[in-house]
Amino acid sequence: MGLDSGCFIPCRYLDKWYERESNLQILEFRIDTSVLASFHQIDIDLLPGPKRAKWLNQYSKLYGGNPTHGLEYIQRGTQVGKEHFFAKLVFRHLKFQ
Amino acid sequence: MEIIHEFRLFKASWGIVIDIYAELAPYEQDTQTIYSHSIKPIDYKDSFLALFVEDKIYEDSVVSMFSGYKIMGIELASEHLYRLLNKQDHPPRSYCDLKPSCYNLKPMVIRIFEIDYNPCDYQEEGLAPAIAAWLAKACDFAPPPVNAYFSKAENRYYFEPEPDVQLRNSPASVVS
Repeated sequence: MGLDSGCFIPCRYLDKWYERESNLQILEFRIDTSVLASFHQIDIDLLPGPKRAKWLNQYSKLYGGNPTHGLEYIQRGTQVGKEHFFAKLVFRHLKFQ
Repeated sequence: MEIIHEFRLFKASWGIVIDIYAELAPYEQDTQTIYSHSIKPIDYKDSFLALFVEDKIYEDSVVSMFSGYKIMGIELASEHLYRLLNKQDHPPRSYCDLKPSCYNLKPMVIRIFEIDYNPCDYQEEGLAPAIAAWLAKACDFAPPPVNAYFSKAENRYYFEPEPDVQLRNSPASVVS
């Protein structure tokens, strides 16, 4: 899972997770924008309300769904900024710092 | 017996997801001793229900709202227990009716073992309806409706005050 650039959102994000798991740390990575754009992807926030709910209910484990969407890159807004989920298959494109 | 309730409220790209692991049991003389490491924010003398939470949960900021003493649904649960115990269809006639001491009965204890949530899909105010929904499941009555809306501008949920809900009839199967 990657994070938006800059510190504000990642720090708040990390703080949230620190409350649950103090061993967590953020690993930064870079990715070519052209490669990123080529991923089979979806931005949940851009879906209209009913479709968004339907999608999350169907594919998000958090909401009781099964992640059989086959996507490589998913973005979803949360209370503390945007989450970026990458499929394992595309990890080789992530250049960790 | 541990009862798990998965509370879900979803009106945006993120929602409120809270899983509550708790049990409902009679308050015994040694309950305070057994749960000496826990807290008791609800005064059991005035209610059929007392609430205990594990230390590890209390230390977590998620239960800071409990210090407000207001657990949504607690009145509904108490009233429900009153009806079951008295096998009556009408609501209690007075506040005294809701005191177990009126019937020489032991109050019930809600012991919360764990509150699990996803930090990015969580808002503290969601605990109140989540506990209410757990109570409804444990006591077998219809949960009070959740009056909430999502403010896109503020990226947060707002909850309306607990509505004055009439208890619905349900089978007398929990307390014997």
